[in-house]
Amino acid sequence: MPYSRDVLDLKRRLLNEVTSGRTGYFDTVKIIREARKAEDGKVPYAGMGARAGNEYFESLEILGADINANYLGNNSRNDINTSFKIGGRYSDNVIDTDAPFFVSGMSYGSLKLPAKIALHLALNRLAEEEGIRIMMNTGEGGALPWELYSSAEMCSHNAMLQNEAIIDYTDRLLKAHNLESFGKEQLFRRLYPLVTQYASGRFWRDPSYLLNADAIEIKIGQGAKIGHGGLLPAEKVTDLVAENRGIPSYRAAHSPSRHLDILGPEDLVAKVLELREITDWKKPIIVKIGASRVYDDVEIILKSYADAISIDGYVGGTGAAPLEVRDGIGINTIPALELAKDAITDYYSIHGRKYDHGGSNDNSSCKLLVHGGVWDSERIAKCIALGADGVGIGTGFMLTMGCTLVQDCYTNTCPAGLTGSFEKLDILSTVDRIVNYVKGTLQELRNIARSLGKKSIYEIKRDNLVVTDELASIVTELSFREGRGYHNLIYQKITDELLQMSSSSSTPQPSTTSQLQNQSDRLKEKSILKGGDPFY
Amino acid sequence: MKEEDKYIIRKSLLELATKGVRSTSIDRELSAKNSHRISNISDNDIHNLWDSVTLLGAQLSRPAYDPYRETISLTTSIGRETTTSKKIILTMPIIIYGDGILNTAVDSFNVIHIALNRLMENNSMTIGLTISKDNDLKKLGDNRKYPIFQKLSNDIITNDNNKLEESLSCSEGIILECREDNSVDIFKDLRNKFAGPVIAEITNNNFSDDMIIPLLLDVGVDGIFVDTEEFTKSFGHGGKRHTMAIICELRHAIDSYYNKRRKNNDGVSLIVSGNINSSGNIAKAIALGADVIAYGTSLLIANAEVHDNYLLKKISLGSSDIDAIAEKICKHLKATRMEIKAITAAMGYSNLHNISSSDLRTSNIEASIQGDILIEGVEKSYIEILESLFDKYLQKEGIQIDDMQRQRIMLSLIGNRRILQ
Repeated sequence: MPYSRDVLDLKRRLLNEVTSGRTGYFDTVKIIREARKAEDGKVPYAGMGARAGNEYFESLEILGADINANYLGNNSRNDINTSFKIGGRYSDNVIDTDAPFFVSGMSYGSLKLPAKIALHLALNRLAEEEGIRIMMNTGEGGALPWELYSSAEMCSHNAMLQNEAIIDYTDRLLKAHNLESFGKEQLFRRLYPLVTQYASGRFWRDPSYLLNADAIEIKIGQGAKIGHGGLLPAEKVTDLVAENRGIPSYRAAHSPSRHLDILGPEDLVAKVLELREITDWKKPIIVKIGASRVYDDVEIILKSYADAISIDGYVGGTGAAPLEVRDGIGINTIPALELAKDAITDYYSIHGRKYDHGGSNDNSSCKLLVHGGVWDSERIAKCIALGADGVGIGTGFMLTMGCTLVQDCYTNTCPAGLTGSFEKLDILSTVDRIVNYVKGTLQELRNIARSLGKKSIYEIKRDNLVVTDELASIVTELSFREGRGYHNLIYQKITDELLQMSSSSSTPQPSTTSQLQNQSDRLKEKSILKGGDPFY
Repeated sequence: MKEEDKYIIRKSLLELATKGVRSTSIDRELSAKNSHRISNISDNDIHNLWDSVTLLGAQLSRPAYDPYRETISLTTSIGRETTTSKKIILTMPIIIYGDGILNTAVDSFNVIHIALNRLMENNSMTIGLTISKDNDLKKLGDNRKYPIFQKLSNDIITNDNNKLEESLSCSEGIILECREDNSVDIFKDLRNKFAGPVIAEITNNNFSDDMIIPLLLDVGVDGIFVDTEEFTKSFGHGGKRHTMAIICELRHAIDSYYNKRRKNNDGVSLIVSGNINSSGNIAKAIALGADVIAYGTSLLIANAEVHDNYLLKKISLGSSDIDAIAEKICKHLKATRMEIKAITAAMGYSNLHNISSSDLRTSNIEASIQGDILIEGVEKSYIEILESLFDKYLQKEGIQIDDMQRQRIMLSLIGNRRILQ
């Protein structure tokens, strides 16, 4: 849906005109949006994450953490444990990966083929050369042939290479993108765990999509368009994309806003059990929701025989979402994480169990994965400290691959050549950057753990965090750097007000005044305030 | 992510991806850049408070609707069951309003007229229009298919009875500014003369008067109109007041009128204008308690090209130009309708007016105070948090204070929040 150039010209003139008279609350983005609506009469779409800030992350600080803390001169890979396991609550298989983060769902269709190949090759190289296995999610657009038909436990890839239909499709795929130079032997091997998404559009060709993956994610919703179906515009549904998804080409691929067979808790249970039967109770099953009524949704998932819960904050990215839905619906990642944690704790306490948040080695408990606005090691560490087991990164990988944050992913005009345009993506250098990014992030995570004196990144707990503003303190119940929480600030203010009131009233009550004075002094002493609420 | 943060985020990650190490983390750079934001809340921050308010979407605990295949109703009726015989039904809760788009331009009435008629004919969309001068009515032409809300001036009411009759006969609804010297009796008089909805405009002068809304509703006024642009210039508790605070207060006044009389609301409309300029903001304002949004500046922006070239220079347009601009306005309103439907459906409702303030969450303390909105992740508003801590404090310390004192302390806690922080 490209819009005409006049819109861009007129918005410049407009900006001066409209903002000069008023108080400046019409920003450029709002002006373009309104002009686009008048230009084509359609709902304006946008790519990537919401325009809102995600200031909770900025307001949290890991006390004493240093992402470059390599002072021991110890660069050994094994001194800090970063492994992350998923599955085992009901599934037979447990996926064991080497990093607490993974590539979150970005499908072929929303990403162009070269970008998908770059991710595939980079994860393979990481596993082979660096010994770092990280998980990848296919997104809802179906998996590519080499993702499905080449894992280690699958039949030998020579046999697979003989499967004519798959080879034919692969050839056409590569030819369409002028990538014949890539040997199929190089592509048809997968050394990392793959999660396939079971979304409302059901975009796949055959059951091998479910059977050949290492885990299945039932996608109820995603942060950027909670309660709104997905949309791949018609011009992006090329013949090859259509064939991969099993849909007609050059028609907009619309996934419904809800699973037509999952409307409530019982349906979810039935669906999870159905998938368990299909996969012979082997594959871990994850349920992904967009963050809104997180507490209720998580309670439902906990009772549905899923192995893990995945939550996507509304700042999480997307290929295409209606702008207003993306920016206006959902809650932020950190509050969602807090609510999910509450729900999980409550669930387990009813069942007489204590839940150890954050990378517990106990595979029999439900794992919590978060997405949305997490791009680097420090944010991953903050999520883990607050109770997440794993963190999904999408935009971080996009930026690494060269995304310029133009946010026009839904048009065929990506300046970096990632989401579809005539720009060419240099696959080899992109692979290098992805490898560096993963290695660097993992090293930074180890450095953070090491600078805090921890043996595992999952030993980073809430005590290591402080907040720098009141709202973050209210949401996370954490204290400021000097040991005071938001309650202490409010108690202090109440005491001051009461003192002022009793001193100004004509008949002061001596006992109360002195009592208040004592209380005020007490509150001002840091030692008493250590540990949050002084009354409890 | 925010536009201004993009550079920092991209630079930091690319450094890591190309070199394998980087000097500082994203959060450190962002918090250094944004440190001023915490201590100072500017007027512009208050103006943009809508951005930090979000709606709750539907997932597992409430299934979503599909706006492309299922019917999502945006229909709004103006007029009370008990007092009005001729109600106005709008198919989306929007009235075109604003001197900005109507009075600066020569042909703007003609354009709006064509656009609204076309929407009615081709898309069965009924959208209202407010006009503020009685001679503007003549410019609108004869074959009008959409409802008009005429803003009456107080002079006509008091002096010119014939003109008043004429005005009443050719408009579907009327809006009259509520003034202390005339208010209640004039509204009573109008109510008897006019069968359509009578809307009272509340202004800065009588807004704080608790008695005015019950009196107006008693004499049969069908709706309250408020242009919040006027109010937000004034200063409330410790800072500028936002549109959401005004909507909350008026909705509270209307609800408490019915609660005191133990009656159900028979359809009093709250019509709000000012700083509601996108579909998301329309949904949020309706969640807070507004019924109809008076909407204007967005149309001005949508047609800025024309506005810039012709209208401001007061050049008369040719008929093909008029047609083109009208088409743009139609497209804009159709897209807006689809957006509002998409939001309503994504929240799991089939009717826009089922959205309530319990569907709102905020990531901003100021917004929580102004709109009485729950803070995300805590499910309590800031005032609730303050009150529960206050109760705990008094109980623990054994201090007893009366209601007046309590209220005074609460007010000063809220008002001084920014200064104390």
